[in-house]
Amino acid sequence: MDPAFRELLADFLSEGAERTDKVEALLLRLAEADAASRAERVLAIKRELHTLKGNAGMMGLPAIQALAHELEDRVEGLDSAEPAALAAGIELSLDGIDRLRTLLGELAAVPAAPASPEPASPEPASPEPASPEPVGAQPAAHDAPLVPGLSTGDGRIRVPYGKIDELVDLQAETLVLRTRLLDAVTTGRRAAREGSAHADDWDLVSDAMQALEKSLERLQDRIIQLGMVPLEGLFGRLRRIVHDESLHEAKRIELAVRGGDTPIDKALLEVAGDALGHLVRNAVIHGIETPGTRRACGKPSTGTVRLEAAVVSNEVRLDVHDDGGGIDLERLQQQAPEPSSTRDDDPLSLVFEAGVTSRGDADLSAGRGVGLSAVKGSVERAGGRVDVRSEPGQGSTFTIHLPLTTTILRSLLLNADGETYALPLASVTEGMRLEPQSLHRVNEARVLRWRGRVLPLLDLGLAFDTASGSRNEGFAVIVELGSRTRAVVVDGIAGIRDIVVKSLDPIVGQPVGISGSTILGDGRVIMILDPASLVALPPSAGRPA
Amino acid sequence: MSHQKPQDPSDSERIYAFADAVEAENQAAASAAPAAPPLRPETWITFELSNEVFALPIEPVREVLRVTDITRVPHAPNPVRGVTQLRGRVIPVVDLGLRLGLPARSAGRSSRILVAESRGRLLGLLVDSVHQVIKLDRNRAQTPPEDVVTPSSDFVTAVYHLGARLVLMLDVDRTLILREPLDAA
Repeated sequence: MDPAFRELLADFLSEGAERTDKVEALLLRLAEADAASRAERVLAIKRELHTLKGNAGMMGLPAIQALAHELEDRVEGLDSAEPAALAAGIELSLDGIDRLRTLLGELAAVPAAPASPEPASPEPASPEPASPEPVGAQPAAHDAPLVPGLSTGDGRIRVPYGKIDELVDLQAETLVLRTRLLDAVTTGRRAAREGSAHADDWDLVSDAMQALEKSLERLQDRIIQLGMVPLEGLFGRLRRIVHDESLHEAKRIELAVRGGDTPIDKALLEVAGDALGHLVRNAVIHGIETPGTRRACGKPSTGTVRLEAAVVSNEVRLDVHDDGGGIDLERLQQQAPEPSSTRDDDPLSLVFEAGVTSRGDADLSAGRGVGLSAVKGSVERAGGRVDVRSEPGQGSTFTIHLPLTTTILRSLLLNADGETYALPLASVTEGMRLEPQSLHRVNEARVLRWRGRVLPLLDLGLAFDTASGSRNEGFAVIVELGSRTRAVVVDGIAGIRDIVVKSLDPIVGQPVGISGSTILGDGRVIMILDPASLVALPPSAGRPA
Repeated sequence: MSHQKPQDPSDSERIYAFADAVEAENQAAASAAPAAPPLRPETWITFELSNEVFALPIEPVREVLRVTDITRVPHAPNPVRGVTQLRGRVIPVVDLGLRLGLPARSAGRSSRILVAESRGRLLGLLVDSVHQVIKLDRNRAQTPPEDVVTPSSDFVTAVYHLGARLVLMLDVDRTLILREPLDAA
């Protein structure tokens, strides 16, 4: 395949995927609209399909062209259809959307040209047509021409993610240089104060430095924003899940969303999408009761799944709420593999244990008891957490907390045995000096008494083989993640820094307790601690140093 | 703060000059006689490990660094000494001696890190000292004696008499491509 054509095709595919998503979203909201806006939506659907058909024709893709045409016919007249005909028409059109996705997916999977002497196209076709690839939601592009790499006419350009990653790396380097320069300026000013004639010059340097620092900060901010996409892109998929699953379960459910413009790091989009998909599916299948049960409880027969997204301080918070029957605690506790293994005061957290399900029967969609533990695992690996609240008869709320950005990590610097480590601040509850009277030993394990709780100690030196015994002096940092807690013991706490995450080469293995590395202002490389695996490490045993 | 200037300019300039010369020669040779067998002298970098002289082809070597801060990576496999940084990139440092099965030594004043590029990744190789960048004629190299099997013999493709010393020529792919689990070394 000619590289230029391949590039055109990649562009067509990503645009086709967008149009397909858009048509699907419009279809899913067609039934709820009044007559006037229904006509408007049908028109918008036809416009999207028409453009798709035209572009497919230009690309020489008759199957897609024919399918788009067929769909156009299918939505014709839907705006004035009777409710039953409307519902049937929507289902048929949704089937068509699925076929369209399959076709686009097959095209994306076509391998690059065999034995082509030219270098392959720099941008391979997007392997997942359903993933929202562009930065920002695309407004209706009526006659967007197929210009490789660009979408003109609406003041936007398309930029491959790789280019943004390069910017982030460069920006990381300036952060290191800035700190180094700052040190040099401080040294220079001190020297000038101690009796040289150049004090004025140093003041000028220092002023310029401060101005530079402010603009670097703004630059960093904007670059981080470039790597963010609005969550909205995920909502279409969720709407479809609610639609399909409630049909399958014979339930009447509405999906209410808020905060679609909330930005999310594109590196977290997949994690967020999978987690929300699980939670929304669960809410439909387990959370919300059948219309009959609801009426018997005096609730409206249509249930509501509410999805809310917002940025709260340094994280993105995603709430999935259902107004169903709530989680059956008794059943949950009966199912728990080992009731004594509950490490938490909150019995509700049992829902995240593998093998626990609130449903008696497993089917294709849910009930195998792995979903929620998988959700929790993937969110925690991405540096976030999930928690749950439930009110019997009133419903449940699952909340996903995700970091706002994956490139800059606000961290606590810790010293232990001459090594420095960065611990992501999001997982830190508190830091304190070790007091001998709060240290105890329970069954050979060393523990810290803290606010009426007994926490297992984890000496960082013991965990990383830099010490031979657990220390009695120094500092403890309380790390909490989900239901697990450790009091991490170190020699000292050296402050809080915004650090740039640098991944480690796979050759160093996958060290337990370490998630990556970063470069400090003085050029030293330090390890970034991984809270999720730290809290899973066995607590330090009894032998004191 | 010594680690602010990690590289030794004289070392790397010399290497770059040689590398450029070799590149020019390669290009000239390629355009003149594309079918000719590659029997020209090749440029190698020689260095010492446990009192033996080893050589690696110069092509993948990007830089020679003095040993400053190597940050230990907890639980890393044995030949991995840790990580260091080169202009904002974090690169792993492998003790080449340990990798070749030679006895453990601690890094000294003459120790250097050869930074080599392999498939887009940078890898630091810790050696006891760097000798020189030199052209070695492969035709004059001998195959290593087959009945002598040492842990490093897998890596040594040829031996070369350079004055009074024996230079062990390393296989570049085996030395740089580290797919196999390292703790096996």
